[in-house]
Amino acid sequence: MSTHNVYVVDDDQAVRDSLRWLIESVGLKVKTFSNGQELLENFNESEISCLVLDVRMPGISGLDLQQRLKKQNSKVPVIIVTGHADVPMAIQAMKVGAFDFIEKPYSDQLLLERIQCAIEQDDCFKKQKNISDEINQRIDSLTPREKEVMALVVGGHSNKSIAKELGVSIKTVEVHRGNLMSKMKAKSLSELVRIVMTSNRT
Amino acid sequence: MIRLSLKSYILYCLLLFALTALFSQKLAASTDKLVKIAVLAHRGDDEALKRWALTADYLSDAIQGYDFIIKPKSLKSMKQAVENNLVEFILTNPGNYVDIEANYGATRIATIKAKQRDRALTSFSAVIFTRYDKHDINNLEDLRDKSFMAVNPKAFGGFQMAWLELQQVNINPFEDLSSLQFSGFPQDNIVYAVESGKVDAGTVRSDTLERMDHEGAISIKDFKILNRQHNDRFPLLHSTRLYPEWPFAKLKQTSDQLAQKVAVALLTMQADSQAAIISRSEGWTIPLDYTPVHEAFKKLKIGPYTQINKVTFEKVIEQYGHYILLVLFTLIGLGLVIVYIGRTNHNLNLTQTSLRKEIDSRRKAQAELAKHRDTLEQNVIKRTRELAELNEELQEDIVARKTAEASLKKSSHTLQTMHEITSSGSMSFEAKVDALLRTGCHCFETGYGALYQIKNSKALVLRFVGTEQIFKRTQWIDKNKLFASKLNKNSDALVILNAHNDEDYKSCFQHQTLNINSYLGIPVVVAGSLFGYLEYGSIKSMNSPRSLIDIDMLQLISQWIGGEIQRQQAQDNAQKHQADLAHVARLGTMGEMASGLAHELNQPLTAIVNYTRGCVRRLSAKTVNDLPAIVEAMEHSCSEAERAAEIIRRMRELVNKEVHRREANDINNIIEVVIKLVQPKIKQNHVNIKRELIKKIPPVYVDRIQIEQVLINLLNNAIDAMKNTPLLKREIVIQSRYDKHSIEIKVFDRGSGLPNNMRSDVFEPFFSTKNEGMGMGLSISRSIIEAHKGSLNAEQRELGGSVFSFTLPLGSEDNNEYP
Repeated sequence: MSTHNVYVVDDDQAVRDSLRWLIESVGLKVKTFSNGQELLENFNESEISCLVLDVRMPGISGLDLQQRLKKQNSKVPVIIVTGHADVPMAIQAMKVGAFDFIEKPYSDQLLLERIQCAIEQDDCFKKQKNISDEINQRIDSLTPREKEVMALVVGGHSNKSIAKELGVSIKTVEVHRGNLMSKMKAKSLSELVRIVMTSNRT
Repeated sequence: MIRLSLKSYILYCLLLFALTALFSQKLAASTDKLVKIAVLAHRGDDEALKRWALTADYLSDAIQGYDFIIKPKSLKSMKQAVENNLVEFILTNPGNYVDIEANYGATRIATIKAKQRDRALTSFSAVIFTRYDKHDINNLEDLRDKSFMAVNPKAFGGFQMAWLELQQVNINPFEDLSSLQFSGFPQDNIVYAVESGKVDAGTVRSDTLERMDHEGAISIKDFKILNRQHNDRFPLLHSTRLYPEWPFAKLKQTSDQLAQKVAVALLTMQADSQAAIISRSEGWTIPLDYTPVHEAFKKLKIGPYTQINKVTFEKVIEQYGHYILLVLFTLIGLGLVIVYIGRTNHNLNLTQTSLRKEIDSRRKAQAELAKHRDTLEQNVIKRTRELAELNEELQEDIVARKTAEASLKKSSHTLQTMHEITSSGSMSFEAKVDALLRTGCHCFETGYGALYQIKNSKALVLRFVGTEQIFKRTQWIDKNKLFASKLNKNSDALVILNAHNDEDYKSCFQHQTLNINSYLGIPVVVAGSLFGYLEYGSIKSMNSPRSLIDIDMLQLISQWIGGEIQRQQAQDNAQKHQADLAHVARLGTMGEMASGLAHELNQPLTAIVNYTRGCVRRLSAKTVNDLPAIVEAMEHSCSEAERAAEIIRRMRELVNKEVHRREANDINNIIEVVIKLVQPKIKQNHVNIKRELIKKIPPVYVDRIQIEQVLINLLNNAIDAMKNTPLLKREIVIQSRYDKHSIEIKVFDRGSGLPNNMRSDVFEPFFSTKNEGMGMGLSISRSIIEAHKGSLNAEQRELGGSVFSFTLPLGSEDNNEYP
């Protein structure tokens, strides 16, 4: 069973329940909320793979909610659903970064396809985030000296020139280099360079 | 003579010239032959010599073996010189040239390109002018009996050109002018004479005015040009047609060879050569056509055409003198005979007239006598008849006075009855019309009275009263069958006392089919147009004389019935108008909510799609392990479909204009339905709805749609009133209560409230505080509530906002009759 969660926010109970019924039919997990406030209170970014929002809701409207999540730096793909789409509304939604904008009544095929796409995008994003998080942890475990040496190694300097640069012996450089290679879990120089590039830190 | 084209002619000349030059060069100096050119010296010999000497020198240089000299001539001496072959060439004005051409066979070989102002022109003209302020002279015709000045009677440009133009407007300058003066050269004198007012008008050669203006002698603006002509090729002021410029012509005896040489030399003269400049020209061009000059002379009968004028009269006298004498004598003889016969005739006539007069007077006297006798007899007969008539009239008067007294009594009674009927407040329209009809039956003693309404070709029996049951009410009859169909709105009453006395009536439907023997009919006019007919009739004939039928009364009844109908129609229209307004307002409300309802419908449709698609996916995946869940989803789907159907039904009900019957309704239910209808707007404006409804409220007998409309109105107003209220405070409370007699519904809002002075205004039609409001909502709402015998009120709330409340009486359908 997939661990992907789709959150649905709609004030109309029938629509909410029927959406749950439909989305669950393709084996996804669904959590429903009757308004934006309820969602914000229960919001857990890592748990959500896709968010389906109705535009017209009492209290916080779909577009408002989308904007608030954006401000919280949320990367969850948002699919906006509306009873009567108009162009300005669609433009606003897409500007804030909605994943898609779907008009009711929609074909189930379309909605489910878009939800799947959103989930894939989210997966990909989350995976990448996990990798860079781990590398950042490894870099954080280095001593300041090791970080200096690593920067020079990745910059293409030889042990000799690093020793000269830092004013230490070649032997010392070799020790630092060995330590940082094992801390970074790099088997070769080229692997180290790739890991460092992935981390987005130079 | 060989006819050559112009080009080859020039070429031929050039060739000749070249050959001559080659062979005669050696001989030139010693044997130069003298060639004399006669020049018209209209400004004196010195002037002529000065102008043309260089041209002669130019020719002498250009043509070897000849020495050209200028001989200035006057018109007269020119003629002599030509006649006596004293000169070889002439250079003169076109008029003179044409004269010499005709009389002595001169031939033009070149025409001068004379300099007029700063242009070289090959034509010239004359200008006829007057002083600018001569307001009585505006065209040539005005010159009649005015004084006129020209240069010389024989001057072509200086007089003859103008003469022709005057002749064209039937002015003979020698007879029809008050004075014709000739100033002689120079022409400037004429200009000065006109300028100083010595003469009224004058003529000069074209360019004279421009030249003098240029020299500063005059200002051209002080003159008015008469008969001004416009020609693109001739830019100078001019009043006459154009004529070719001065020609250079050879005389008959002059050799063609020499003439050709001269022609070539002249044509090749450069515009900037000294000879050209001094002669005030830009050299010479090919000889022009001088026919216009001939034409002018022919018309003026001068120059070569002078003779034509003089021949006739003298010759006729000479030739036919004796015939004329004979005719004269014969005429005198005839005259004498006619005078004699005339006199005899006159005498005879006089005698005849006196005889006739005598006969006439005798006849007249005889006729007078006969007439006197006749009048006497007639007077006696007339007098006798008048007396008899008077007697009869007196007897009739007595009878009439008696019946008038009776009918007066009856009329006053009828009038009183009618007044009572029409002023009654409690009678319905139908009852009033019936009563009026009955009054008529009574008054005219007829068996029935009927009111027809005309609709196209049909007549509807609108009301019918009477002892003789002839029609059913609301029966349709072909209009043309009715005897009254011949009535129009301005017709008088139709009165048939006895069918047997009226051929027209005998053949009509009333008599033929219904056997009506006496009949009264009159048009009923409503609001200026024919509404229908009022008809009274009886199977039996009327015995009373026609004078007893009170036609005035019949008209009065017709008018009063017309009045009643008009009043009823106005009332109907007012009601219809109100219904229309209600419909319009309802449609307006619909329009406002259309988008909201679309959203409303989308919700259940979306849910249905979701449920059924979910089921389909589960069922087709064959992983169904929870059938009850599928059944439940299908249930949900069905109820959503029902929800959609409900929305559509509500929409239709709302738009439907049909007047609904009143039924027992649960007011709480109505409130719920309305809240649902207005829900989109409530959501949109983030309004909180609070219900304070008393359960188990007794039913009210109301038109559900109408009460819904009132509530929709109140809710819409409440929402609109809170546009400026903070979101959290936006709240509508709907309250229901009841007591023994009525229920009361209250709608509270937190809006801008109702100032005291506005409280009564809000119910007025077209009063609105909203920009887009029609101002009809509350007005219609109050009409609806009042129609239900309730009341609609508005109040200000203590803590801000307003309360609108209405009451509806409790009770059964019966005591709640529709008004």
